[in-house]
Amino acid sequence: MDKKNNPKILIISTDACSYPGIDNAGQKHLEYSANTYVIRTLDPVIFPVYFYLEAFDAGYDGIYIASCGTDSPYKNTFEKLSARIELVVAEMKKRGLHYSQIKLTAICTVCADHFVHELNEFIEGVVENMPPKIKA
Amino acid sequence: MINNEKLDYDALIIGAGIAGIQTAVDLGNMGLKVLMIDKQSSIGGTMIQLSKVFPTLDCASCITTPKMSAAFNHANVTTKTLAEFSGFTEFSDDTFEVEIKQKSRYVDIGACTGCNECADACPVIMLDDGYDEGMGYKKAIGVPFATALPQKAVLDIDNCILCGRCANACSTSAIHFEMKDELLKYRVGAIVIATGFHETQIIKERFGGGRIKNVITGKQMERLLAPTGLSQGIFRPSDSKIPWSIAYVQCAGSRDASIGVPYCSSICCMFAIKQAILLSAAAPLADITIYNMDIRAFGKGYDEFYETARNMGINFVKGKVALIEETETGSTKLHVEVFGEDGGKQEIEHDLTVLSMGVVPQWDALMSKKLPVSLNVDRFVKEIRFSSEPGLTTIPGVFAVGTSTGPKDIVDSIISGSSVAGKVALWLKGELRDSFLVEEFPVVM
Amino acid sequence: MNDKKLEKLGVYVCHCGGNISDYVNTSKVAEVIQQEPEVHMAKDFIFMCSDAGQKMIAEDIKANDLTHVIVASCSPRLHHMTFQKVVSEAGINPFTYRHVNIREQVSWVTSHDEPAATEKAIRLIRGAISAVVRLQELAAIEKQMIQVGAVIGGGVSGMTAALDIANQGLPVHLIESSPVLGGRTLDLDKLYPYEIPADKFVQNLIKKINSNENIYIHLNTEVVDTAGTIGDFTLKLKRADNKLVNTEEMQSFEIIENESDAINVDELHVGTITIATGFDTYVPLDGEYGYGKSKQVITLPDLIMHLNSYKKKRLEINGKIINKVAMIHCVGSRQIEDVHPLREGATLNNGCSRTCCTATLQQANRLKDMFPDIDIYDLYRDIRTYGEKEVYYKKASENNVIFIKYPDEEIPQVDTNGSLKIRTVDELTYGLEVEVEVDLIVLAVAMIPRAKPRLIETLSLATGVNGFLQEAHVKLQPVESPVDGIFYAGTAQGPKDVRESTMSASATSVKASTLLKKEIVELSPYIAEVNTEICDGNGDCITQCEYNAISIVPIDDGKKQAIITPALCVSCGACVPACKKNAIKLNGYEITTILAEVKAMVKEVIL
Repeated sequence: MDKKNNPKILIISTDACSYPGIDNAGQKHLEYSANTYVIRTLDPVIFPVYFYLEAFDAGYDGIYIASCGTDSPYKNTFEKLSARIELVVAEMKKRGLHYSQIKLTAICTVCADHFVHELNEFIEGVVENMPPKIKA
Repeated sequence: MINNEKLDYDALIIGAGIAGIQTAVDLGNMGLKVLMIDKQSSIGGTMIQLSKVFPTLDCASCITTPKMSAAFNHANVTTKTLAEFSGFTEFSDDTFEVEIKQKSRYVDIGACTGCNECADACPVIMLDDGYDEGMGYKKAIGVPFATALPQKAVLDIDNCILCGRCANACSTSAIHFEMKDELLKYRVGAIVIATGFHETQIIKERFGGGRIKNVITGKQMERLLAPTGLSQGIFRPSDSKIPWSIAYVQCAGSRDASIGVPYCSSICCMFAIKQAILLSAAAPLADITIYNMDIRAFGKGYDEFYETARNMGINFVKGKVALIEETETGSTKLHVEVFGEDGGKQEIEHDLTVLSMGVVPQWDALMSKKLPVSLNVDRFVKEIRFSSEPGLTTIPGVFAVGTSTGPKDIVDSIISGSSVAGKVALWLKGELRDSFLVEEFPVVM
Repeated sequence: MNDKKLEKLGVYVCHCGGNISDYVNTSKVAEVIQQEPEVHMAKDFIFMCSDAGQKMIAEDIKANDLTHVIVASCSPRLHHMTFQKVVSEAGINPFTYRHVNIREQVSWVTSHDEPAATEKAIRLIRGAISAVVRLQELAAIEKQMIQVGAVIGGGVSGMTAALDIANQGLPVHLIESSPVLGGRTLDLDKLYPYEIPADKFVQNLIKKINSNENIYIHLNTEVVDTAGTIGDFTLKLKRADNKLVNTEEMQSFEIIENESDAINVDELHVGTITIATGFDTYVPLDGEYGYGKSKQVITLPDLIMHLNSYKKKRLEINGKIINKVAMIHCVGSRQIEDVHPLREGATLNNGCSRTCCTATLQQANRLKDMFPDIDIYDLYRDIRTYGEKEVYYKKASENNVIFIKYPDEEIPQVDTNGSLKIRTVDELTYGLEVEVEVDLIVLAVAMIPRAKPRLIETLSLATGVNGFLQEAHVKLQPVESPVDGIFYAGTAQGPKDVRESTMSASATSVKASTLLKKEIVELSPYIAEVNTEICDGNGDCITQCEYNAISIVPIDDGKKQAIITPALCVSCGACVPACKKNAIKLNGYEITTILAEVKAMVKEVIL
């Protein structure tokens, strides 16, 4: 498979909002890249900076964080998460990764179309900007 | 004294909208066995149809589905959809035998996996005048909507052409055209009316009487705005053009004795403001005008929401809309008596007009024949202890929650659902009989 | 962790009758997964959720001593619980069960590329395998419940809340700071819409309270301090006098006299707390609409109290015969910056007080009934007689009350020099300037939050919109506080009328008594936990916790350590990344586990 055009994407979802939203894309039989892997969390605020960096190191080309946004059931987590992603982006820069390889967004339980549209845009951005990988 | 051992369920809840669901969950949490029925094919009521909720702008579906699933999966709650209350017998021990008409789904709920292959196979495409309020389409068979509970297909036998394609497509052979309606009977200790409301159904002649295509109701606009709606973006019905100028006519179906709705429907100001804010976010250049007599933003945080809308540039015009006409281009021309400094009689054109219809109880005269609780002058279920023990009807052991007793927003419906759950629990302990027998008010207005 | 090789894992791949197997090569998936070192057996089957599928899992667990199970089928939102139950009944800890979604998130979104869909399914299952062997066995945290409730505030809401708990057969303390029960409803006239006399309504409630053996009344009593969490709260009470109601029964609740403190301090131990502290009435500023400048400018509560005992045929107030009355709405409510005067240090109250429109028109109608010749001008912005209360507006119109709608940004001017005059603009007459001379001005004053900062602070609660108590969820949990076991009844949460207060009070008692009836309260196992071997107590985590669940305690040798109160933890995980030493984990969501899952999904798949 042509890796350049088919980047590996980690999708971080939330139980309250985006996981059902991503399910909804399936219920509507919307197609999107198969090289995408969803993990479930209560709130992505739990992840420290190193989590993202290790994921990139492991081989993901992009990380798409589908949070609840300000609809999060927990207090002020979105603000904290946004601040953390800024730190992640700074670290990514140091490693030669492009800022378009990570995206923080909010996906609701029925935001299926929005999810697919945005994910496709994200993948395009990743394809355009990701650094060429040197394979050992 | 209620003999709980004889009971199939402690309580029957008629209607599985947000109020009924709240009552069911609270009763279930108290360890009481509940049967919750709804005449629709999914639970969730009006709330699951909405776009977002005021004043938080939470996505309605996102906050309704967890509540729906909490009730649906509750160990003490049994849910039956397509089930209508059809009669009751009262016993001397303060219990009831209730009759429920279980309408056929034509789909074996145990076998259906919710895959919706049947809908893909079905050749019948029809207007969805239920969940989608006529703003979208559906097949004659399929899972009712994305967030429906149960996630099981339902066959619309009236529109089915019996071609059998769905049955061939179904990998679990779950479709049974020969399935029959059933009459179910249960012994219960209490009955809770949670039948909710529908929009005022008469569109006034002076507003076009329902014949002007680009005059729609508030609930139809909800479906256009909802992310679960079939439409992509906002269009007006006549020509699918984007409406750049939208009018809201407040009190279109309330505060008017001539249409039998003299009361204020309590929620229309807020849903109009909410929709205007959503429209404004979707199409920032759109010009949105809300024609009103009074803006009734009375709940917690509601007036602040109204201020937000004004700061976003939504026009609030004090005035009375006398007449709506259709122009040659399909737009709507409003004849308005505008108050304020530059007021007077004016004719204003808008691409689309939304009528903020009123709240009318779903519990009607027909239902009252099956369960003869008294109604108040506004035709809502009468509460005999309005201020001290809300939710008690004129029949001992029969309760009412949510908008069945009067217009309410979601918060107040939920509070009403919870509060009545406590009263039901007391009744089942045999402790509330006196309250039912004494009206608290001296004069009925 | 995996080196113990004790795991015996069973993986089940569902066809969903073609919904999955038409797009994913399910038998290939099972075949590849079978090769994974942790996997004891991997099977594929047409319908895992069917009876046959469930029985197959249960039998395999027994026959092969499986320790872990993974099912790959539809969304976990549909069947996670189904299979959790199956494994649990077969003796496996349900928290170690993992569900993989290969329908909604694989077959239904990749329907034209079987190799890609198959590969994705394998990777997702590999991720789950990696996670499942690391998952801890969890169980709900159990806590003893003190089966006694407390209600703070003895108004209609507090009394109703206490009565409803008591009627469920549970003991409850009702704590009121004033010498009498009844609260502000006693200041009212009649309750709309059925015109029940407010005093009779309250007396009836007090009678029920007094005759209920389960209610322990503490009058003249303030809650001065609180501690604890759900199931075990401590309330420190301070009494203005020494008398205890129901003293004998009180002792059965082990009241501890605290001798080091003032004499009249007691402690109560309760399982739940209902806050029903009510509202304050807005006091107009000196000179606001002439208030304080003229004796003929009074508030709506003043008018109600005056009329409640009034017997004369003509209305006389402060020595003046009243023929013309002006009533001004929204005094202290719906305030706009730079338009409405503000008391120094006060924040703008931009909220609506909900009840005053109806209350004002009710009194306008009452004035018309008592003194038919009186002229009434009603100066409003919007008339908010919502729902059935619209009848009051209609009746006022029929009573020829003259309505003047003033613009939001242009408040009426009151002239108290000489005769009392009001000047305003009337939008109903297209912006006509109106000046009327009146004998009395009645101000419809706002409901504002009661200042109880100490109580709010010690209970870890917060105020939200306009200073009223902040609920757990504005829409869905209107009577629950953000802290488990604490509830809000009545106007402490926001403006309400009597009926609405009663409803909210009854709702709180449903929640409270459901908890109080349990001897053991079960808390979620998904809580943050501190690794005491690593934690140095530097406190970085504390600022990240919005729920006050973390505290730093001294341990031996002058060292400190963070501890987490399970009952206050909401599982958000915000504290986890705050610790630079990685000393905090969220049970069920350990970063190491999730990282292992993430990394396992990358591994090359050879089909």
